[in-house]
Amino acid sequence: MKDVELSVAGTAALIGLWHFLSLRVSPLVMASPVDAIGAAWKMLIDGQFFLQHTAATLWRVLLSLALGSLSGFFLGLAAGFFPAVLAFLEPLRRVITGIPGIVAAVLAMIWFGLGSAMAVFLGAVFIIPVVYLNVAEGIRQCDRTYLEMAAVYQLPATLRLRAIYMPMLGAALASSLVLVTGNSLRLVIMAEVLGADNGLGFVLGISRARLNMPDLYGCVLLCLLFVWGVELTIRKVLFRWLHG
Amino acid sequence: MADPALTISDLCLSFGGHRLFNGFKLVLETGEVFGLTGKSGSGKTTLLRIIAGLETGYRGRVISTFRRTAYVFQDTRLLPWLSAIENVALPLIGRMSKTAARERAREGLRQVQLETFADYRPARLSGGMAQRVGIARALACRPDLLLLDEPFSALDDKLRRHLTALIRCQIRENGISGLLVSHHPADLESLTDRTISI
Repeated sequence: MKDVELSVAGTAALIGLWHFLSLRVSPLVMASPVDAIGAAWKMLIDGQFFLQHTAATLWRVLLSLALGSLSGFFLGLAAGFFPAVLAFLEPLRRVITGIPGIVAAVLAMIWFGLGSAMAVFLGAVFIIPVVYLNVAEGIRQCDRTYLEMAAVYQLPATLRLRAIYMPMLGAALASSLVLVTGNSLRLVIMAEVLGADNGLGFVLGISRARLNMPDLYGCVLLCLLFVWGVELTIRKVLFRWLHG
Repeated sequence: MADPALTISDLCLSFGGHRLFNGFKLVLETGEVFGLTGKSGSGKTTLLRIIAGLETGYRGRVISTFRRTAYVFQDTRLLPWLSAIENVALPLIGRMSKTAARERAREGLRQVQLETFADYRPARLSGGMAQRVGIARALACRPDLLLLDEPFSALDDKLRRHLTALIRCQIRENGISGLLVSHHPADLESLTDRTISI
């Protein structure tokens, strides 16, 4: 059996299990896959819903991904090249990776108030250490033989970064981006549930309050769809670049 | 006699309790090619690395007036994610336009008879081919000092003769100085002005 066929079989089994469970519990606890997919489809084709909620969440996630990844990348570069920066940033890294998400959300609400800024901050701040660590470690583990070649041939620093470091960091960077995309969405949704007046997280909160399970599960499906889309794009773009 | 372009004096270096150099001296004149031979672990590659500025922790003086060094590494050190032509053009980027760099790299590959493999990545090349790409990269950057560490070890006799002739021609035409590490007496004889065993 090919990987694609196995993947389809796995998805079908998961939906089957979901359907089986939904028949055995109250509809106030779990919506059936048919109802959830129907609700997700309605959300997708409803232009006003898309602009007000889906687009708002996507924008926040993309913004937090961009801010978090870029900050993590440049801090990681600095820490990889200069051990003093690594040592200096280590306490901050420990604080960010150790703090529970819900505590960070409460702090973000106090600092930024309710709305987009808080959601984007929360999404970005937890991405930074993941990308930062991957980049810093990648730089430190970079194959010294290539760097010696670059030193003998007097390659400029920018060329070394582009031709040696970046391709060596590529695989780790691609994996960490895939990982942080899911995390970013989780955190942005959590922030929206706690303190926003639009976005998929806001819809999730309202659906839960109204016990509207199809909409709640439909929102979850939309979130999954988005994470898969971004993951596929990252894999396609970065892996094509890495493997030529 | 030309001025010394490289002077090494009182070089002392030990590795793990083993003394590699103890007051070693070497003078290399402009345009001169020097051969180094000797048993494995005697410090031939280490000496090339010291001259290339890759080795520290030694005592003594290394005074070099060379501005551009090229090094044909024993393990080629081609970047696996670049094609053969991109590897050869790499040291030229920033020194000339991209088109000119690629053109010179193609010419370098033609000289080592690998023009048809220009777009191949190192993983698809044999050991001998990769070694020739390394030689093309070194010659394409028009160095004034050429360091060659067993550059023909993976090549058959015919290619070895061709590349020896090519390097000798480049050295004479461009006044390049060189250091060749080899265990092959014929290579040392045809390329170098004098040879020492260390």
